[in-house]
Amino acid sequence: MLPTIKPKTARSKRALEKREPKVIENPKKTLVVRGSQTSLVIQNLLKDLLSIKKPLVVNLSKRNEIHPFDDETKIEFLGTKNDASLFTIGSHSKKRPNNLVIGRLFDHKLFDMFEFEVSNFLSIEQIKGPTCSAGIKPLIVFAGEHFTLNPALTKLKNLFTDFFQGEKADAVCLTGLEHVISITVELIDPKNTTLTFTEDLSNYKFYFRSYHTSLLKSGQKLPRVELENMGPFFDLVVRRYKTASDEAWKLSTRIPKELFIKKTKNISHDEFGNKLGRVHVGTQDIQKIQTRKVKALKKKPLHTIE
Amino acid sequence: MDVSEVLKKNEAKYKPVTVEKALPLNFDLGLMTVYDCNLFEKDFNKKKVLEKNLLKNTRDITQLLVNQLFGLPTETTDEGVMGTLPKPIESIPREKPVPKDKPLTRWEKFAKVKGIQKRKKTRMVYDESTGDLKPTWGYKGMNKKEESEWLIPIPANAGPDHDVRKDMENKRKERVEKNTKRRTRNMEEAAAGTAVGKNSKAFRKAQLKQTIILSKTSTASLGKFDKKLEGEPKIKRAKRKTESVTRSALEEREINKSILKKITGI
Repeated sequence: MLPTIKPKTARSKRALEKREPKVIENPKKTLVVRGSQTSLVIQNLLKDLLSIKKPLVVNLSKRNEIHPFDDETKIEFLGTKNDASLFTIGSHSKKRPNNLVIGRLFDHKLFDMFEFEVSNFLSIEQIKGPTCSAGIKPLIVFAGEHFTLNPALTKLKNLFTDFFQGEKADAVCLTGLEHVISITVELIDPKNTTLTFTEDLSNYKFYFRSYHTSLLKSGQKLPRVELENMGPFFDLVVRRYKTASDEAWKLSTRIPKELFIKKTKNISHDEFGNKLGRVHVGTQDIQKIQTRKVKALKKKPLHTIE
Repeated sequence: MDVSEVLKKNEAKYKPVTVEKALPLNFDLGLMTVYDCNLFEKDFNKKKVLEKNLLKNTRDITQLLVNQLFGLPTETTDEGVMGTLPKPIESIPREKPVPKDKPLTRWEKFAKVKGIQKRKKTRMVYDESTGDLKPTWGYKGMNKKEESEWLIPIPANAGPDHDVRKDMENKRKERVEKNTKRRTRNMEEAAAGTAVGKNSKAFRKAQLKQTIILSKTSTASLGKFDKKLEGEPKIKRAKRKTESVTRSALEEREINKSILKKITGI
């Protein structure tokens, strides 16, 4: 951990304030870390991940002796220093060839991470075809029933969503949907084909595909979607993983009280955007209602009646 | 006239936008993600077939997602037609914890009670006598105007060596000093408030007690003959334990052994 710094100038104070916890957070930055030893596949993969994740990335392209499953302090330090909470580390060794770690930090501490073996890699450069513009928010498609059948994979799905979603947005340009990331999971099981669930995550294979979309005319309001290969393409198999504790999960998904919308009673909106209110009126006292003034209904003092 | 022919012809020109799926998909439009839990065609051995299947499956799902996105309420801006996204369903962990409420400073508490609102003050003030703007404080500041006047009346009861200018300057410096003292006090209180559940007074009291106890150890008598302070805490020290004189030979031997071990290190 970095020591807590007391700002000496107004400028550094502003810079530190930007890093403080906020109600509405900054978009998550990603650390792209090159490990101590990398193969060509891993180098190209990191390059492609960098181009997908631009501009919210910090590229650490020099060799880094980082092994987060053995010692997590180094990546925590880098995350704190660069104010980044997502990370990916690529490395290559005899024991673990073509190794990719994807993970995230919470409160400058390791939250969760998954280690994969990369195979069948095809880079953006290798695939001829159109590419999408930088910083675009992708559509993310998950396929395969195992994402719900296996709770660890549900967590991995959450990590993938967090990692690839880009900047949070309230609105999206409908004609600018250019990029689709597709992750399909399949249980590889040579002996028994009826198996639907295993604890061992290394039996699952993930097919990561990234396509360029084109929205064609269809004669209707909705467009016809066509996909073209863009890259990167690769297959992943889980090696090691570490998921977040329930306590950390609870802390990290807390919604700040400022963002809670207070339920307003008796006010509703209809489909046309009209505001409707329900007003409660106490029981009416019929005796005292002012009605038409007719002489016959007037109460007369008793002594005048004869 | 039958239009169905014409419609069919028109339809045949374009590829369909609808996709049949056995199970409905889980859309999360806030994150622009979709999850398809339908069974995927199992043919993973042949690479070309696999690629084709993946592309086809992804296209189908993307088509459904795009259909959903185009159904969102839209807003036309300079950048194009923007679909307003709903709130995400899946909860994505935050980057940092939810910010904690900072304890109010003494001034902030006071201002809250009195309903005093913060307002911005410009640094430059209009000087009526000269007709130009001058800084409120600092070099040639307005707070030094009075003492730098070329003529200052001396009060009637002033002594012979009374320096009016110096006197005014001292008073100004005192005001600044007073303010800095208050500021540091406020900061200390705020720091103590964050340390122990906002009860700064109790925290300071405990701290003071600790310091007194510590200071007692500085004399040879451990503060026995020191001047007592008012309301000084009574210090309880742990009583020395003496070993019993009558103990078994076995125990005695063990103790001796341990002493020997300490010395020889074996």
